[in-house]
Amino acid sequence: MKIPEAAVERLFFLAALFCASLALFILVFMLVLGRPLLTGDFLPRLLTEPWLPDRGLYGILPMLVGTVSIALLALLLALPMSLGCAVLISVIRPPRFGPLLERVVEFLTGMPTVVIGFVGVFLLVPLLRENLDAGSGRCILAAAIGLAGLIAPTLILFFSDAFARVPAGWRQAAAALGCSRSQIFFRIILPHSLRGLASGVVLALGRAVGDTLIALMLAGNAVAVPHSVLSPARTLTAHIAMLFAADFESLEFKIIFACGLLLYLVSLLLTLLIRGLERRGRCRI
Amino acid sequence: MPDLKIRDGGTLGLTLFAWLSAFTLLGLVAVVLGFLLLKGWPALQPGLLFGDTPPLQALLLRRPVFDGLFPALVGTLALVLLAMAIAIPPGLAAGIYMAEYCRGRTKRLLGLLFDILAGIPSIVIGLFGLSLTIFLHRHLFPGLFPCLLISALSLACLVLPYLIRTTQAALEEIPLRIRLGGAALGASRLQNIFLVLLPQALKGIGSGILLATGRCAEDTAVIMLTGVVASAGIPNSLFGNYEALPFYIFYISSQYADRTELQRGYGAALILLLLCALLFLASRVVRRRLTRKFLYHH
Amino acid sequence: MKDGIRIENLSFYYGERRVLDRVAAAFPARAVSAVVGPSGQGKSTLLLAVNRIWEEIPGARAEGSVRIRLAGGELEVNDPGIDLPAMRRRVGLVFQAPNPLPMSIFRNLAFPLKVAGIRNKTEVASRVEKALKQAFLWDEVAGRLAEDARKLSGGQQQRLCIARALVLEPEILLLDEPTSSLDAAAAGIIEELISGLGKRLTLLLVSHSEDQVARLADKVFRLENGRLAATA
Repeated sequence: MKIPEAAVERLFFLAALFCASLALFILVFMLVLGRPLLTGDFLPRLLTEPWLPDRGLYGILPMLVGTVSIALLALLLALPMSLGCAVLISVIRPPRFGPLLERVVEFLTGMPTVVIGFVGVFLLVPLLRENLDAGSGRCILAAAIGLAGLIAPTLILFFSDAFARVPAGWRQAAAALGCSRSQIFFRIILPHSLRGLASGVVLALGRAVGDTLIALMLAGNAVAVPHSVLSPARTLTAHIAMLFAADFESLEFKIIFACGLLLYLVSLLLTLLIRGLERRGRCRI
Repeated sequence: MPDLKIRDGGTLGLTLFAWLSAFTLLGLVAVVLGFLLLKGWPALQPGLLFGDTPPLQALLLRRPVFDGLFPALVGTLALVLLAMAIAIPPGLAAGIYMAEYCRGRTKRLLGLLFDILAGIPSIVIGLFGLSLTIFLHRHLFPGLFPCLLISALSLACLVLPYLIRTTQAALEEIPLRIRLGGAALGASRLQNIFLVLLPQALKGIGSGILLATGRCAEDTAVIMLTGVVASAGIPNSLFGNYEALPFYIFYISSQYADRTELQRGYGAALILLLLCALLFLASRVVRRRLTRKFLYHH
Repeated sequence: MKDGIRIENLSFYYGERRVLDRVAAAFPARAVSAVVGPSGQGKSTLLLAVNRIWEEIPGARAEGSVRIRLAGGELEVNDPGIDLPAMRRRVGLVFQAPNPLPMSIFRNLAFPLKVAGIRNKTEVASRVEKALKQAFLWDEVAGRLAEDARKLSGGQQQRLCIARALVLEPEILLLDEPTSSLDAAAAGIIEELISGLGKRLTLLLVSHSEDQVARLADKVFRLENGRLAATA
């Protein structure tokens, strides 16, 4: 049976088109359902007011603060350790331990977030509760630590990849000219892997901002604007997850879509940023 | 062992920092896994899955299970199978299109859209699924509510970019000489794809599918908004509610009533971890196994 | 020890594969020695063993004794206690394929000086100029020292790498097929350079051209089947 080639190609194309259009579909839904809120005078209120529906205040400022502070703190916590591990894997390269570490890290990328959250609830939160002045223990710090554990493997793999892509010829030339290991790293490897490092950071930031479970389980979900790392907080993602069978017509519900739209736009921005970084990386010699 | 033949302070500092980081990471992993094993191991008995119901009766679906993970496991299984069945055909087709037919601006545009899709937070995808349901409920199917089917469709949206990317990458990796070989023998483009390229790319595609399966199994955010509940028994219809393992774990963490339930939570966490670990390992084995097989054939 | 480089019982492995099997040789000081032989048998690897650069190659391993003579005494290269970067500044290596660093021409040459602690701008500039003149590259690049070194032609890049190795004024110079990527004219220039240097430095040259070796070398060795032997 002769299958007409053109038809099959058309079919494949339609599949690709359909999948690609999903990204747009999702945006459209968020826009349409959240649109009433994005009109001129409501928008500033949305972004700066606290969330007190009983008093008619529907601002998502507390959630914005929550998301940003937890994500940034997580990045801060994960960065040093991730750099160190990446240096070990790609620069120092101990013959047996190096590949072993790399495999363990790859394995860790598959760790379910809900399990990390679960361990956080029963191991980390009591620890914080008993040793620091952190109320119930569920706070920004707890969520940031959990999130750091989530993004560290991704950071390590991206960083070690960026280091490894520096051509071996440059490293050998520098070594033959009398550079010590640390000189080779700081003068040759690091300056030429900055773009890869930046991509990794942006990607990890995206994961941190977009994660729901860890923040939901460990950050406490209070609606007040947090004032310290030991205060409970709520992220945009957790806010969406906590839809309490709200009336679908209510303003509260529509706000959820504004949150969704915001998250979509942030992830869009980060995706474009990464693409931009990678494209510029390829243009250089 | 650390390289001891170091003379200068800079290298010593860097090396120490690197080893310290590595051991800190491994230490934390050991603590987390150890904690989970310690608390979850005692829970791993048949009672964990089936509660008070005799296992055989439960497996034959004759009697419901109330205090066990069995419904959640079945729910996750059904969900994952359904989601993958929905996602694989378009995912593979799109991947083939990207690798074999597509060029230039179209390719860049499609690639961008796939990257955007991949970056969307899972909760937003869940929200999309929910809003789609509301929309359909209002205008076309008044009987439609968040359910197994909706969750599966939403999960499919979640993993679609993974499948497309791994398929595309697996095909693009194939060395030029193999591609040209098929064409030189007079094969049409389609024949080349199905008879030469796809078999070569099978290991990459297979490993991608296994990873995507793992992603479906562990996701909680999407299913939270599209139909999963804490207690629904075995899923008996595509249009009804269902239970799932990751949601169970989440639910228990905030709503456990007594020690037994907590124990079950640990057990569930351990099982989910094991499941994802197995899928991950399987994806790596698939990658390597098939490579060796092909090496011997060519 | 009167030799420039003396190798004893040297074995070299890439992973499990053994490339050199307990080879031994004595290369005279202040002379040009050459190693010839069929390709792929480890001639380049021999050079890698002299300044222990194999440590930068994952999977590579050398065992045995490599003693070198420098002003101030002799040194066992494989001694784990020596200051490796310092030794490598006195034993220059020119790789087979040119590997300019991702910097300007000037900075390629200034880099080893900076790393060695020489920061005085005038001194750096004069040493860079001297090295480029020695490698017969100065006239071609004097006006464009700030250009990226990777924009040079293959032959120019190779001369750049030779200049870079010379800027530290090493006492031993290792050259891996230095003229293989050069045209006849450029090759001739480099051969002239090698002859000149051979009077002051200990030079070890790997080459696949028996003619070149006959022209330049004071002593010739043949590496075949893992054995190194001096020929007339």
